[in-house]
Amino acid sequence: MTVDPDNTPGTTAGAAPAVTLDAAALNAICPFHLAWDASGRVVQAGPVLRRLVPDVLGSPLVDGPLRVVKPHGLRRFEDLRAASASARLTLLQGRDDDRLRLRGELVPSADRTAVVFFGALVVSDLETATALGLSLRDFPAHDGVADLLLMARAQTTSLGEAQELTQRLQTLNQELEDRVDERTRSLSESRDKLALYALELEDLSERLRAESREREKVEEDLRLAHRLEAVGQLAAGVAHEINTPVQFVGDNLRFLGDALGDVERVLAAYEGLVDAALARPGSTAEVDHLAEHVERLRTTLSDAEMDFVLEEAPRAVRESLEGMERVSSIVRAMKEFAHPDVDRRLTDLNKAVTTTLVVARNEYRDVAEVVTDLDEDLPQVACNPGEINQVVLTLVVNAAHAVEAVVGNSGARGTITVRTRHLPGPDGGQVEIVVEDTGIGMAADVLPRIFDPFFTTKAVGQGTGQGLSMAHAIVTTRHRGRILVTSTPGEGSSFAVRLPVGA
Amino acid sequence: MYGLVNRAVEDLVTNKFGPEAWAEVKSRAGVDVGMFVAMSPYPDAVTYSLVGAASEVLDLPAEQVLEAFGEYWMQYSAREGYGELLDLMGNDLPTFLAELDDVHERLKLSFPDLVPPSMTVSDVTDASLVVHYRSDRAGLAPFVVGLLRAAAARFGRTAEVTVTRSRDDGHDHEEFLVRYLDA
Repeated sequence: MTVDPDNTPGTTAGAAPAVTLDAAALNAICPFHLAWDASGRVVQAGPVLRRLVPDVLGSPLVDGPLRVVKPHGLRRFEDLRAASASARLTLLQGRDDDRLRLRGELVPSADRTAVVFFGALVVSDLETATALGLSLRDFPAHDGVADLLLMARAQTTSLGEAQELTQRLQTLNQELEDRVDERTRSLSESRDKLALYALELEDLSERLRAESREREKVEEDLRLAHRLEAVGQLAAGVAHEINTPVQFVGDNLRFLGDALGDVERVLAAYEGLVDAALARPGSTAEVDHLAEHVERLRTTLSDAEMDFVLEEAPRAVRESLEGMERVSSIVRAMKEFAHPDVDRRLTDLNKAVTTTLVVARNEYRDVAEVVTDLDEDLPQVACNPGEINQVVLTLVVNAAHAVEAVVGNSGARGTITVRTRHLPGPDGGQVEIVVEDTGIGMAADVLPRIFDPFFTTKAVGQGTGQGLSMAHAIVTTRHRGRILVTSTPGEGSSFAVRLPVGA
Repeated sequence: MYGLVNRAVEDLVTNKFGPEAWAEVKSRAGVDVGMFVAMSPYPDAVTYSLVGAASEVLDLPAEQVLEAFGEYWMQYSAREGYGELLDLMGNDLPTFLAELDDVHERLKLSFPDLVPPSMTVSDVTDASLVVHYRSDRAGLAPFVVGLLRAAAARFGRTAEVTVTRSRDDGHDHEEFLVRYLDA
C-alpha cells in the first residue's frame, strides 16, 4: 500500500517517496493499522488487530466491530477522506468491548481510493492488556505503550511500597509515641518514686543525724564514765593519800589536846601557888602550905614535860596545817582531774601534769621516783583538760605498772620521767608531753597493736585494754594530735603526746 | 541492584528459616537496613554480602542459595505485582525467555539504574532449548539455573538445567541447556 506522501508525517510535501513499504513491513511496524476502501468497508488490518477483532476485515464503517468515535459523525468514505485532510486525532473503539481503544491518524492512500488509520492501542494497565488477550510481542519495539504499561505497573508497585512505608512509618511513630508515653509514665512514676525516696532519705538522714547525736552523747558519756572510772580506780590510792596526813594531823591534834591538859594542870598549880602567896603566910602552917604549892607546881611541871610540849607543839601545829593543805590539794586535784567539762578551753598542760601526778601518786609511789621536767614557757593549749588529764593518767599508771613489773616487791625503785616542752611550728606549733619509764618495755611485735581496743599485755583483771585505745582516740581524733612510742624490751618505754597548740 | 532483589532475598530467608535467621544474615553481612525500598538502587555488594551471609548462617553452599534464590525470584516478582507482566511475556518458555531483554529495556524507564543481563534463546526443540546469558556480573550462573527451572515450571514444564559453557572456562558468556524432563 502506498499512502499520500503529502499526508505522511515527516515527508517533504510534493517529493516522491523514497521508500515504499510492503505489507509485511507495514504489519510489523503497525500491527494495529486499518484501511477502508471507497465503499467504506475495512479492506486491510494489521495482524494484531485482526486477532483482537477477528471480524474486522470487510466490516462497515458504521455499526462495524470497530467504531470511529472521533471525529464524530463519520458515516461514509467521503467523511473519512475529508477527516483525513483536516482532523489529526482519530479514536476507534471496539463495539463489543469498550476497553479496546485505538488512537491514531487517518491518512489517505496515494491514489485516494482508501483511507488508512495508523494507530496504537490505548491501554493503561497490564490487567486490561491481559484481558484483551495481548502479549508483549504484540507491541512493536518502538511502541511506547508497552513501556507505559510497565511504568504504570512500577508506579503501582511504588505506590504500594510508599503505602507500606507510610504504614510502617505510622507504626513506628505509634510505637515511638507509645514508648514516649511509656517513658513519660515511667519517668513520672520514677519522679514520684524519687520524691518518695527523697522523703525517705530525708527521714533516714534525720534519723541518722539523731542517732549520730545520740552516739556522740553516748560517746561523751562513755568518755566521762571512763574518766570517772579511772578516778574511781584511783580512789583507794587517793584515800590512802588523804589518810596519811589525816592520820598525823589527828595524832598531832591528840598531842596538842594532851598538851593542853598538861598546860591546864600547870596553870592550876600556878593558880594555887599564886593564891597561897597572896594570902601572906605568917604562920608556920601557912608557910608549909605555900611550900606544898610550890612543890606541886614543880611536880606538875615535871609531869607535864612542858619543855617538850613547848618545843613540839609549834611543830605539831605546822605539820597539821601542812597535812590539811595536802588533803586540800589532793581533793582539789581530784576535782580538777574529774572535771566533767566537755568544752575546750586554753589549758596549762603543766598543771594538768602535776594534777594527774598528785592523783596517781599512790600508783607509783612505792615503785618509782617521779621526775618532772616541765617547760616553764609552755604555751597554753586549746583542749579539753579533763580528757588530756585522762591521757596523762593512763600513761603514768601504765609507766608505774611497767616499772612495777621490773622491781616487784624488791624495794628497788625505777624512774618515771614526765617532761613537757614546746615544739615551735606553724599556728603556734605543738606541745609535747613525754612520759618515760625504766620499766619492762615492749616487744616490737606488740607495738603496732597497743592502740587497738581491748589489747592488753597485762594479766587478767589488771587492765581492760581500753586505756591506750581511749588515749589514742582522744589525742588523734578529738585533738588532731599524735602519740609517738618508742620502747626497748628490758629498758623501758617512752610515750610522747603531741598536741597542736591551736587544737 | 534494586531493592526489590534484596527484598526477595529477605523474603526467601524469612519464609523458609524465620525472621531470626534473616536478622542474623543481615548482621553477619554487616547490612544495617531496616527495610529495602524496591524502587531504590543498592550497591551490588549488598546483595552479594546477603547471599554470602545466608550461605554461612544456613550452612548451605552459596551456589545452592543462589539457585534457590533464582527459583524464588520468579515467584516473588510475580507476587509483587509483576505477575501480569510475566503473563504478558508469552505462553511458552522460549517466547517468555526471548521477551526478557525487551521487558528489561522497557523496565529501564522505571528503573533507570537497571543493569540487566541479556538472554537469547537458540536451538529450540520440543525437548530442549539453549539459553545464552550475558551479564556484567560474575558468579550468578546458579541463580540463572534456578530461574530457568522456575520459568519452565511457569508453563507446566519440569526442566533440568545445566551450564554448558561458562566464562570460568574462557567463554565470553554462559550457556545453559534446558532439557524438559517431561518431554
